Amino acid sequence: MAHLSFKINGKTRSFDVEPDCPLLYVLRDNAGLNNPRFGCGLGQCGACTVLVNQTPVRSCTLPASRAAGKEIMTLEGLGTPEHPHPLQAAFLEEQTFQCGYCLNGWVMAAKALLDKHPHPSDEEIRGAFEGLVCRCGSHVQIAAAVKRAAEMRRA
Amino acid sequence: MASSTSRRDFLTIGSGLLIGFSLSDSATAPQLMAADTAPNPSPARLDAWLRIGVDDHVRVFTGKVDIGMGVQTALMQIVAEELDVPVSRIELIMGDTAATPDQGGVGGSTSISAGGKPLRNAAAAARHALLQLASNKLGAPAAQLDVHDGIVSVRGDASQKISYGALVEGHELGEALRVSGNGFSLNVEGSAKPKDPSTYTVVGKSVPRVDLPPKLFGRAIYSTDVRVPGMLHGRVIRPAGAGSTLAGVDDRAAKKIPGYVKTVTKGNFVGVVAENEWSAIRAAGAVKVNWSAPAAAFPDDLYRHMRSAKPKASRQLNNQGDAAAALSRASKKIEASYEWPFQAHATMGPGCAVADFHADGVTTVWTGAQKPHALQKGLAQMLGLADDRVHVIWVEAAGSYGRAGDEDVAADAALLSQAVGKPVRVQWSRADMTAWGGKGPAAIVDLSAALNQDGSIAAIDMSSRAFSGTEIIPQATTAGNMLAGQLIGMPNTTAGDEYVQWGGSTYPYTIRNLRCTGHVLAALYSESSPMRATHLRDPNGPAGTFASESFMDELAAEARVDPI
Ligand code: FES
Ligand code: FES
Repeated sequence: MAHLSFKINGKTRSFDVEPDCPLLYVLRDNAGLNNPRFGCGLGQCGACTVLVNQTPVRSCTLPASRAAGKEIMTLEGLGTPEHPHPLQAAFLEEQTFQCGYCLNGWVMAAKALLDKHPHPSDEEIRGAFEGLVCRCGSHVQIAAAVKRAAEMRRA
Repeated sequence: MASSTSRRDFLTIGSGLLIGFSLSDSATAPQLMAADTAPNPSPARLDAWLRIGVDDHVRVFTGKVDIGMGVQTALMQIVAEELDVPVSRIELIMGDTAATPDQGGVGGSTSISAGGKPLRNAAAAARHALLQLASNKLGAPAAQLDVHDGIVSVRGDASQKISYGALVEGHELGEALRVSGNGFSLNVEGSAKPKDPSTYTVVGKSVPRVDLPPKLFGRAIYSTDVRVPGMLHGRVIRPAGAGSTLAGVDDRAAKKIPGYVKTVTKGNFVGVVAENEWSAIRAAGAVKVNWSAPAAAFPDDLYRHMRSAKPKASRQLNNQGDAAAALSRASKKIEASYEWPFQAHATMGPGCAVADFHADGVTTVWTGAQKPHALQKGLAQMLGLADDRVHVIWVEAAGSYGRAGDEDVAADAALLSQAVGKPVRVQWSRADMTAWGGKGPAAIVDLSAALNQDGSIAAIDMSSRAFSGTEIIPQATTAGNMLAGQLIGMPNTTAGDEYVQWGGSTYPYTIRNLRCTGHVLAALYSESSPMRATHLRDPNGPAGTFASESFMDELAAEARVDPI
């Protein structure tokens, strides 16, 4: 058992966890954050994506000890209905997603993408989304929403 | 999931149609845990379907659930239309066996066409009752009243008005409804007729999906997110193969894992329980389990097996004109065979459920299962409880495409909770889901066509050989239909025959001489099989569609025309 601290969505939080426990379970079960989602536990679907020091990572395969002391952002930290992040507004306008179980991965990956490339090319969008899965097939609207969010930021 | 946050408190409120209630965002534990029974509500009362609060809020109850298709928004539109209230004022409670009428869950793309009917009729009955109340209150005949946004006013005198919420204060109208049908076809009718569709202003218009904002702002609750006080985490350990029996368990290594609670065995069912998820995952890997060899090996060549196996049922699905004669005199004949493998449903989230077993009270199960009322019966049988001692609460899960695992994992959680006497959450691993979740059935489709000189189609003969899509029957009403039930020795009840039930694979075009024959093959294994087949959306099967559309392309190429 180790006592690990993280800065999660701007707040410092500490937990007693096994150092090899994947960050996903610390966020879900210790921090009570639901949006990093379990899809595969193998780094193959992206449902568990969070930003660690602004970089998207698959939290299901990252040992908690490797994220200790770092800044972690989850979907819960992105925006609120009152102050939506442009991505949330854009995904709503596009009415993207069916079940939405994959949503977390796409939105968090898109957040990292837009922070780096405010006006991403199609190729940059494809690159950022590599390794993300949507089993319901929402891909076309996902790409449209990211472009719309980039436009909203320009405006 | 807009409907989940407040489903806890409605169970404690009175039974009238017109009663006040508070909306609270309480934890997921229901008040019912302390109750003795949790029977299904009768569909014969209006307030089983719809209640209006003194705050003008409309609460609607449906046995339908949403497995990713967005049906909750559409059902709310139907009610909003009949009642003349905004969609935003409606809260939909779905798939709760103690709170919603049994509408057979979802399936067959019937949730709107059939499932919307009783909601529409109940809303029409409620509107009628409200107009009667308003008529008394405002002193004007009901025929002279208008409703807009839940406010009733006298036509021609806008100052004379009253809201639905104010009308219901202190009243109870549990109008009796006429009930017909059951399951998907359940319908109710009151004394009022629904609106004429030509007057619709909400139905038929595109409204934003109600489930999306909570999902995008990270506030939606999926079945994976249900947490109840004292909840433990479970994992399952499956047999070495179909028909393997348990020969021994050694949990010495698991005992050293912090948070480890117990290894549970019952018949051939094995699972571990721990205080947290990571400990459960590690314990499941640390427990050493010996299994007997599988009952029979998987066929080396699946399609050879499928061609040579004697079908358990054969059926002429379609026979128009004389395909055989047309084929024998055809100037040109084209033939093709399509082989379609078993397919994992591969839902985005592997099965997950929470169960809280109570021997002398109500056992509650939270699940993404698409037929909660059926599952209630199957779980009750498995646990040795009366149906009304099991309360199944649907909570949205990753979109599903048939019956691939939500019921099975609910049964796993229920067995583990029964064994440890505490609430247990079971999250399947991806491997659990891929290996042991339901599979879309393998199929072979043989097609021959006779072409006329001009390339047009004279005849088609289609013959398919497939495993039944109902080796997991659509309704989880028996324990032996679920993997955990089979593993603890409940007899397999899945003798379904998809072709007989659903019509099987037929050629989807109008062809003058058409013959379609379906052969259903016996399941590869009779018990506890990782290859249990369940239709992979849709009931007619992607295999048949793949084959007939691919064949159309062949015929078009032959005729040198665009297949589209
Ligand atoms: S759950 Fe982490 S990548 Fe799939
Ligand atoms: S919307 Fe269902 S998996 Fe993407």
